[in-house]
Amino acid sequence: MKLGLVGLIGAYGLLAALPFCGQVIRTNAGDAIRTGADVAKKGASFAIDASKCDRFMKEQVGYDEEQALGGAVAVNFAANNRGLYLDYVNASVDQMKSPSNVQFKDAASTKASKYVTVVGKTLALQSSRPNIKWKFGILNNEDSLNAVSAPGGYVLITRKLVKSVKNEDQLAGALAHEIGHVVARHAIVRYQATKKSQCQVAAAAKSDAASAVMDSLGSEIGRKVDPNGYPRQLERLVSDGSAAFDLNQNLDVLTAFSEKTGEAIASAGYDKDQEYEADRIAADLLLSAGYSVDEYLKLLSTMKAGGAFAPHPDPEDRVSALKKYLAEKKASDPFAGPGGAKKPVMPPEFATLQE
Amino acid sequence: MKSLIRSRLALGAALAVLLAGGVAFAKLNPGQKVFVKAKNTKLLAKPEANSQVREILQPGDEVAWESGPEAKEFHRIKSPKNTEGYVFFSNLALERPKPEIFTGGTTKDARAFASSGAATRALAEGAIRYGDKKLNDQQAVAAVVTMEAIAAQVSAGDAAKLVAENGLIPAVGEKEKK
Repeated sequence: MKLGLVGLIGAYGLLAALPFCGQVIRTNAGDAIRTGADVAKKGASFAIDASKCDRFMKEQVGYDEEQALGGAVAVNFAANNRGLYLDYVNASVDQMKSPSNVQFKDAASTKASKYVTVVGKTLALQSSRPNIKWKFGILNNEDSLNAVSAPGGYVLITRKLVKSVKNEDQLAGALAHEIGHVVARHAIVRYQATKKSQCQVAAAAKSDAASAVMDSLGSEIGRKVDPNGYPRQLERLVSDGSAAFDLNQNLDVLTAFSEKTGEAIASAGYDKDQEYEADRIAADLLLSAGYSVDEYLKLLSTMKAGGAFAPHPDPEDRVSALKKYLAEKKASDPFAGPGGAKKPVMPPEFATLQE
Repeated sequence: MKSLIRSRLALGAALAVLLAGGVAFAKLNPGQKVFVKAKNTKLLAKPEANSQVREILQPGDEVAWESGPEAKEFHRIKSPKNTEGYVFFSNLALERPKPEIFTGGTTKDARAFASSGAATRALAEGAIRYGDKKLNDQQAVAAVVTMEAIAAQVSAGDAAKLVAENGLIPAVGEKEKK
């Protein structure tokens, strides 16, 4: 049985009602903590204070942690969407750790990816996070009309959506929306909430009932998580008093959290307010770059509710909200800009991809 | 270029009427602090895209707004070094870009972040191990690593070239190390 994010929140909700929430749980310092049940048995000096789990929502996630999470989410997206539209030279995993070892072929796919990257960077360089390392790619998914993003500056668009855009303005619109999610750190907000709920699960592991929840988390939170490794790593991370997780050194926690984050983004989507915010940021970027916001509105209008960008709010509502925002922006922002009139023609490499 | 800008202005006016219902444009006061938002923003001697570059500004730089929009959507500003000149409207924002945060709560403004090396870091080691050990999908790892390598090759200069070729707004300067 898989326990989704909803399940985790459910578990948190249950635990929040239990009387021991907020109590400090202690075990013998130095003891290896393997499961929640072990925590309950050993008692004493290893502290997990549930009341301190709030720190995971209060303290911002650093860029290094964001990049580690986002990298794993991006790998997950690639693995679940038939990879990326790229021709690369195979390299060993060790070789991949050094960017200078990476070689790619001078193929149409490389040119198309570069083109998407140039359009994406043109927008991202004008965002409120212009200096993070923005990465853009094309997922080899020809079934789903979608674009996704991951923390740290990863933006991916499916081949089906690539085929459906009519001009560069519409491509820019789809990319700008995903840039908006990264700029506003929407996935990170979810990640923080999951950290908090998991912290509370770990803190509540004193009771038998909660221990059972804790024991099951290892096998349920992620498909590829070591059921022993996850609880041990999680408890160590939530016990050290820092809000930061060193995800590179805790593979099971990285696995669990990146899979949950990726699943939440790809399946459930963001909440409506976050989608509207991403649309507003997209409009800002399009205006600033000189792309036509009208073309983005057209792209949204062609999408059916429950179809393209399936988890998103109703397209008609998005178009309506965006028009209202643009009117307000004109009145309040002297640097709003007029928007673009020209619809740039897409290069041949990209046009080929659309056939 | 003139006809392009004229057509943009015409579209802008049309959009303003269409979308804003003829609302008044927001006003700025001379001396008001505004912020540079785009990388490698050119501070120009004249309100012309090809004018002499007096200074290169970076995101987060606080500048004093003097007047505008003057000719063709340029605003006259004074830089932190008291250099006066013109910048394009889309280089500016009313709010300062948020600083990037690092583990431990250290913050870096846009200028410091850009020179920290974090912006050029490759795919995280944990992500490589996740794809290799947990997903057993080395191809997915290779694909993302390649995407990162391509991203590293695309500079702000490439973006500026696209802008020039497609008649977009020249908001981002081309000066950037690859």
